[in-house]
Amino acid sequence: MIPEGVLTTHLQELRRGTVVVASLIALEQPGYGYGLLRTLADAGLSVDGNTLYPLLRRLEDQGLLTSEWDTSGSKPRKFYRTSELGGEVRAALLDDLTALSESLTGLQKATTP
Amino acid sequence: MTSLTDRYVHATTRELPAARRAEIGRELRASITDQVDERVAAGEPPDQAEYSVIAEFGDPLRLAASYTGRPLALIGPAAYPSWRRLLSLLLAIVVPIVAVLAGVGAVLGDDSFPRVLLAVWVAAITVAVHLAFWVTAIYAVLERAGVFDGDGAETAGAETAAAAWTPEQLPAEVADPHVSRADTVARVVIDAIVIAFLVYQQWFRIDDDHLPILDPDLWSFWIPFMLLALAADIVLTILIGVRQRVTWTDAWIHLAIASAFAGPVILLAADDRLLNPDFVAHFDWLTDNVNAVNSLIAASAAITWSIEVYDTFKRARRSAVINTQA
Repeated sequence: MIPEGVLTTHLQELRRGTVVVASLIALEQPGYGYGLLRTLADAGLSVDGNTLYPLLRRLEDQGLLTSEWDTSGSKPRKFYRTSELGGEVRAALLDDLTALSESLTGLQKATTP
Repeated sequence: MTSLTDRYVHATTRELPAARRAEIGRELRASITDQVDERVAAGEPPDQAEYSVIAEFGDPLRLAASYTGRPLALIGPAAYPSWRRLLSLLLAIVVPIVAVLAGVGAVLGDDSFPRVLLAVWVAAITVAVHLAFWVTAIYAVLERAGVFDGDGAETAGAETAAAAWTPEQLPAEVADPHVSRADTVARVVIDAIVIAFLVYQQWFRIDDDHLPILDPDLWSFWIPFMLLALAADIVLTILIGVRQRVTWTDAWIHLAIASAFAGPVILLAADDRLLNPDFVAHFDWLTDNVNAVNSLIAASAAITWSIEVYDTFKRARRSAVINTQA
């Protein structure tokens, strides 16, 4: 039986960086803050608003996302979209994630009798 | 009435740079409304929904810091080791020096014994508080100026701030587990007691007679000289405590310091120049046995000197052995 707090902490650590990759993938289709939050949650990648919204801003500052205000609807919304640079970063991150997963599998095979 | 959302958005955006306030505020408000709307659609009362969503967003100060990337700590993890190293070094060196200087100043100013103690105490506390405050303030400002950002090698600022750690900064030798904090404190306290006695005996009274125990003429040179030796011993003891090992140099310096204290005591006692003649005359048995008492004082000083010097060389030897094994 794993103590509850221990697993939660390690899962958080493991998932921390994946929100960036997930956002860069999902925002290939333009999306606004809460819409993206729902999309990620539906895909099994739940994230808190107070983590996601500031993150989108920082990715925009780094040039990985572009944004545009849409004032045509009932509520004004800021739509984000993955930029070309963001696409390159996403590819690099996904490659690394695959490599990590392969390394772990390889390690497990090598150490399991 | 101002809504909870208005108050929350205001509390968050006021912490942001003015240029970004309006835009982030607008987006944050839309995001909160989206979340509230969904809860209301699921059947929750609007007030309760708004309250829950904002509680989930959490402390506005934290959210704002997350937007700007500003640190949420006075001294962040990048700066902390360097801050702690500098502060403890300064405290260990500056506080004892200032305390001793304040004490010597008060004695020379002919203050009463409690006033001397007070002067030492106030000086030590004042300088410690100032050091802690200013070092911390400077590091907090540097932290906010981004000096400690990056891994150290990336930014020039980190190198100048000595935040980058190199293996050369390791102590040259391994700590001696026998040089404990309790040991250091005990040695300092003993020195402090002797200093206190040397100063206090000047105001010694019997009935209403002012009878210093030591010859007041010694204040012209020998007592200040011995006080200085004791102060030097305190500084050396603290340095040894900070480095947690006794080097051969320490042992030789300690030999010099111990001799500077014991030497005058033995020679003055041998010449019968140590005790105040008026004090001796006050007691018949002391007048009769003054030579024996002087011999006893000289012998005690010599024995203490031998034990202390032997002990320090033994400690230096042990530190050296530990380092050859390591």
